[in-house]
Formats: sequence, C-alpha cells, structure tokens
Amino acid sequence: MPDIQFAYQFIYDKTEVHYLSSPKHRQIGNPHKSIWIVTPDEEFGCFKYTYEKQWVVENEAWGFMLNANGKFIVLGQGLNNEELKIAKFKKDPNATEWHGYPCNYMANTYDVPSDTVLKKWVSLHRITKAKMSKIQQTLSCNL
Amino acid sequence: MQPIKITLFGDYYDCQLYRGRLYLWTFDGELQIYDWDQIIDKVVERNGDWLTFLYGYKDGRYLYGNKTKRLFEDDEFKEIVLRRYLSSCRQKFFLEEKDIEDCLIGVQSAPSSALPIDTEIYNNTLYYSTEKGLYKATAHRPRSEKYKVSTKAQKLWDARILSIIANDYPQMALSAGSDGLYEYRPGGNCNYTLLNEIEPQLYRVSEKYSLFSNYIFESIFSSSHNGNSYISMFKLYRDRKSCFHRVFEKEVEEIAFSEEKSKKDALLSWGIRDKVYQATGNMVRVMKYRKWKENSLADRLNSFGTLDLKSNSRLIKGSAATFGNILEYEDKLLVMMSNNEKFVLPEEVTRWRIYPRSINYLNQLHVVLEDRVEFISFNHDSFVDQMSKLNGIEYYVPTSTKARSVYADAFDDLFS
Repeated sequence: MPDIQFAYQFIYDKTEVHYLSSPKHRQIGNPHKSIWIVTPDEEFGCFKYTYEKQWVVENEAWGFMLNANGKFIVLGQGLNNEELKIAKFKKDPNATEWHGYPCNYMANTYDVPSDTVLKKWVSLHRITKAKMSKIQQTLSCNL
Repeated sequence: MQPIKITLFGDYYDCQLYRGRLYLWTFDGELQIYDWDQIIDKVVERNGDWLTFLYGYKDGRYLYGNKTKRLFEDDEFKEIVLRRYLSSCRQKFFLEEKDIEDCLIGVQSAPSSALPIDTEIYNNTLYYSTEKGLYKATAHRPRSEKYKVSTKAQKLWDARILSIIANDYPQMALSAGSDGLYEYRPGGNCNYTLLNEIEPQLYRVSEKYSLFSNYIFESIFSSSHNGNSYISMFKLYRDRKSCFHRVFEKEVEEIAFSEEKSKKDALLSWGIRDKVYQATGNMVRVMKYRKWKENSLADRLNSFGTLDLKSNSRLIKGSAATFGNILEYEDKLLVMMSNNEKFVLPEEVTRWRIYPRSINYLNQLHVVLEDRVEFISFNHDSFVDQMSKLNGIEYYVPTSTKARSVYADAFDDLFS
C-alpha cells in the first residue's frame, strides 16, 4: 500500500473528533512498528467505537473489535509477527488528531490498557476479571 | 492425598494472609480484613474436623516438627490422622460473605482506590503496585484503629511494577516488565556495588525484561517468556567485623544454564529458593540451586531431574512452595504436588497466592476466581522426603535452638 495518510472525523458530544490512519503502521517490514492488518476504514471504526464508549483516559484510549461470536479479532501484527487484538490510540496534547496502532501489552508496559478502561471492559462483560488481572500483569490471555 | 478446600463466594480481586488476618480486595474497590482464625473456627463449628483444620489452616508448620515426624512413624497413629485428612478432603466447605460477617475486623477503601497489580505484606507493611506506581502503607494496625491499613500510603516510585516479592533478609525483588528488574531494600545496610540507586533504597538490577521474579537464596531469578529469563547473581560475604554484605556479581542469561538449543525452545522458567524449573514442550527440567557453593553458576546450579508436562494451553506463570509446583495457564491452574500427585483448577484464575516465607501458612494456596476465593490447604508434604523431592522447595528445619522454638517446637511440646 502506498504511503497514504487517511483522515477521518466524526462528531461526539457536539465536538469534532479527528483521526489519522498513519502509513507507518502499515509498512510491512518496519522493525520498529506494529502493523494493522485491518483496513484503514476498520481501523477508524475501531477508534470511533472506542471513543464513543469513552474508553479514554486523558490523551490515550484502548479498544478492540469483536467478531459475530463476540470474540476479539486480530487487528494487527507485532514486531515478531505475533497476533495483536488490542489497539492503542493517542493524541499529542497540543494536537487535534488522534492516531493509533495495534499494541502488544505483553512487550511494552506503556501499552497496557489503563485500569479505568479495563474495569469498563469487565463491567460490559467483554473480558473477565481474570483476563483483566492477566493484562495488568502483562501475562498472556486468550482474548 | 488431595488438598482440603474452603470456598468463599464473592466478587474478589486479590487476597493476602498475614499474621492471622485475611485481606480481601473486592472488585468494587473495598479492602476487607477478616480474623482468619475465627473464620477457620467457624468452619470447624459447622462440620470441620478440628485436627485437620488446625494443621491445615492455622499452623501448617506443626506437621514438620521433628517429634511429630516420629509419631507418624507409628503406623496406627498415621492411619488415624490420614483417615481424618481424607475425610476432610472429600467434604465441601462453602461460605458466603454473610457467614463471616462477625469475623470482619475492618473495611475500608482499597489503598489508592485501585485494583492492585500486585501486593506483598512484609514487616507489618503492605506494599502494592498500581498503574501509577509502587506504594507502601502500614498494615496489621491494632484493632482499636479505625483503619487496619493506613490510608496515608507513601509512594515509593512512579514505575509500573508487575510483581513484588520479598525475601527474609529483607529485600524485595520488583519486576517492571520492559523497564527491567529492580530491588527495594526497606532497611539496613547493604553494599550494592555495581548497582545504580535510582530512588532512595531502590536499585536497578537489570535493564532486561522481567515478567516476574523470585529469590533463589541471595540471588534473583527473573522470569520472562521465550527463554529470556536470567539470574541476577549476588554473593554474600562476611567482613572482618563479621558483618554480612551482599554484593551484586553478574547477570547470567538462561541460555547459559539451559540444555535447549535455542531460546525459543524454552517456554517459561522460574526459580525460588533451592529450585529452578525450566518448562519446555512437554517436560519440566528441574535444577537444584545450592546456596553455599560460592564459585561459578555451574557449581551452584545442578540438574536434578525432569517432570512430564502435557497441556494444550499456554503456560504463563510459575512458582513453587513446599507442597509443590504451581503452574498458571491461560485457562487453568495446575499444582504438581511434591508427592507427584496433581491438583487442577480447570478455569482461568484472577489471582493466586502462596506464602513460602510464612511460618504458619506455608502449606496454603489461595486462588481468586470469577465468583469466589478457594482457600486450599495441602497436607501431604511432611510425608515427603525433602532432600530428593522434585516438585516444590525444600523445607528446612532450622538448627538453632532459638529458631527451632519459632518453627517447630510448639507442636513437639504437645507430645513431650
């Protein structure tokens, strides 16, 4: 895919929210970046759902996509080709646009979803308490 | 002999047992503190057997007493006791929160209003980690105090700590994932030559990934997935004034003591006290770590045997207590008992706790599950030869008179 940056926007709570799908996370072979395997539209859909559910803590947010059976789908691949099912979204404090990447919470402690978000996922029965605990401790769990 | 189980139903997230008090973190953000002995007495009052519950839940050390061992050499006596254990193992002991209301000695908001990533209680102090950092708060406060755990927690460090483990010296190994391995020393003098003190009393031991860690005597075994575990070796020496010093020596990567050809052949390794375990595809290699061999790692760490390990699910964490090896999988918890029996909890677990440093609770495993906590008491290990067992750490009978009076003499005295 050529280095195209896709820009999206939507209205939430009477405010415009902007999202940029970065080509850096779509370049296969980049040894420093995880890559999306879902389309840019799906990536944006994941962000929009995340934002609307308010799985947001300050300038960071975490989300996922579910299949028809309610299971987490694979959003991307990590640096060692591992399957990634959680996305992290960020916004620089002075910027207006959000961007995101499929994150490996097991490899990078800064990618672990915030407790606030994890508790919301448990309350919505998207994950169990056991999975929350495992994610907190960066242990593998079958999402 | 399978273990005895007490089940407490409720929505819990973490637990600790310390000096007769049970600490339960609820998912709603409360910390409940119970009188443990009173809970056990309540179970006994209902339908429990006093003998097995005394040894099983209140004073796990008693079965290891030297004079007790002599009693068990008497077949008739042993048969009676084992019969009572087997009877307790077959029974189910269920409790609801309302059943133990009168055992509650304190309720308060969870420290820092957080569901902790990990907790440890050491020297009447609760250490806990959250996404915001590492904290400590005074615990085991008198019953007259409104809050049994201080509400004025002190923040020790900003990092996200995944695992907190204390040893007896006292030191605390802190695994910080991709930020590395650290050690916190709550008090006393220690020569940490070669280590950076990054915060007061807090030292960086390694920059390498540390998922969880444990003490193998004076050294630290840091565990990580895919063959990236390592040993941070420390050495104890005595100076001319007979003061002990603990000095960092070197870091040894797993590949140096592994028989596997590549890092990826090793699934997960863990070490605690005298044992190092290395799980590969369908087996666990057992190594014995010898405290007093002060030369090379090859002198300290020797092959001790292998164990079969067959499972279709992913092994994610391991540790060992005197009663056996505890293996956490994505979807179950397996205990490879020191008598080579197996005990399985066939569901994903939220938290599990063992108390290998404890005097009275060293035989217990507490498992927090989706809708309950299981308090599991293993009582087979005192019948197992401690020197040759593969599963579980060796129980050491302290040799000094003073230490023995702490560890085992109480029960011996009952029969002398």
